[in-house]
Amino acid sequence: MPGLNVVIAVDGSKHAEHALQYYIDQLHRPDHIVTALYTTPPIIPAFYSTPYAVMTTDIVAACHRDQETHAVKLKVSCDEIAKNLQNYKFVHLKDIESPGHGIVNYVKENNVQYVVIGTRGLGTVKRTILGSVSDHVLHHVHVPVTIVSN
Amino acid sequence: MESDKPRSTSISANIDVPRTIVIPIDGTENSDLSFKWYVDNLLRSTDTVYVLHVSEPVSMPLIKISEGKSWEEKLQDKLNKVQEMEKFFNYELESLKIFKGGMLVVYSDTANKESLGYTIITEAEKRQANLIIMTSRGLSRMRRRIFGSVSDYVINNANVPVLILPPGSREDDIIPGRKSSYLS
Repeated sequence: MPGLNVVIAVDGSKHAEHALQYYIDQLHRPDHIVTALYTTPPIIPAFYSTPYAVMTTDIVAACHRDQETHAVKLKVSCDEIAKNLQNYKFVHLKDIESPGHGIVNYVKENNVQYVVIGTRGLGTVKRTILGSVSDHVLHHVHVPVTIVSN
Repeated sequence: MESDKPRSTSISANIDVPRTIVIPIDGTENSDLSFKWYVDNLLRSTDTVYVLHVSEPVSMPLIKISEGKSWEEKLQDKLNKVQEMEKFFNYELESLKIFKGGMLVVYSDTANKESLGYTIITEAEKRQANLIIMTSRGLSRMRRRIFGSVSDYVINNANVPVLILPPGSREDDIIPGRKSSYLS
């Protein structure tokens, strides 16, 4: 069987890290091609302006820098968890409004054959059973999905 | 889109952690896909694999509309089918050199989707499973609420990671309006 193309959706939350660790311990095979996928939303200045605070260019720049630092931190921690994998890469998709749609499109365009995702992400609404992104990915992607709970 | 070239190291990450896998099946071709997928993509020789079949009770219509089989005949058919399933999967597991685990058949006393899901989860917890592999029928959210979905129940209530496989074909759907082998 040729190498399975796997995507693990990460967002910086502990759930996602746990999902990545779980994949490596329990599901990985040396011939799998692994991608840790991270999406960030676009920063639209007009959206965040209020009568009392206008989104000036330096605030927008600060938002971009903030996004970059988070992305770099996440990449470093994912690379650390996945340091022994043979075919691994970290992909950061920028300007994606809906993470669910972003992940599903990436899966379709790149012929991904398997997805691993946590139950919840950064927005921990503890009473939900399955997060909105995980739910969206589970029902719109036509490949096997593993949902890793804690 | 920013991406890095894939890195390669000489150390393999697969430490062959012993795993217990539970694969619930219901006898349809759709659910047999979960076993096949596991064998093709996740199989490890150190695995303990339980193929779990929860057998629902035989149901008879309230009003007899036409001549059909009696309850005893239906029950016997079901028992024969379960026996065949058991033989098939035990043989498959043996030929794959998986000697730990085997086929499990649980006879449930209700036909409730929730109790099916509940049985699957309790059996998986009893055996300290690391993963449950099952297929979904690809129903929309509305239909899942109306007709019930075992995979939904298991995802939401299991303490164990669940792998959901997309449906292979729609022939097992007996819900009107969907493509099925006896409507088309």
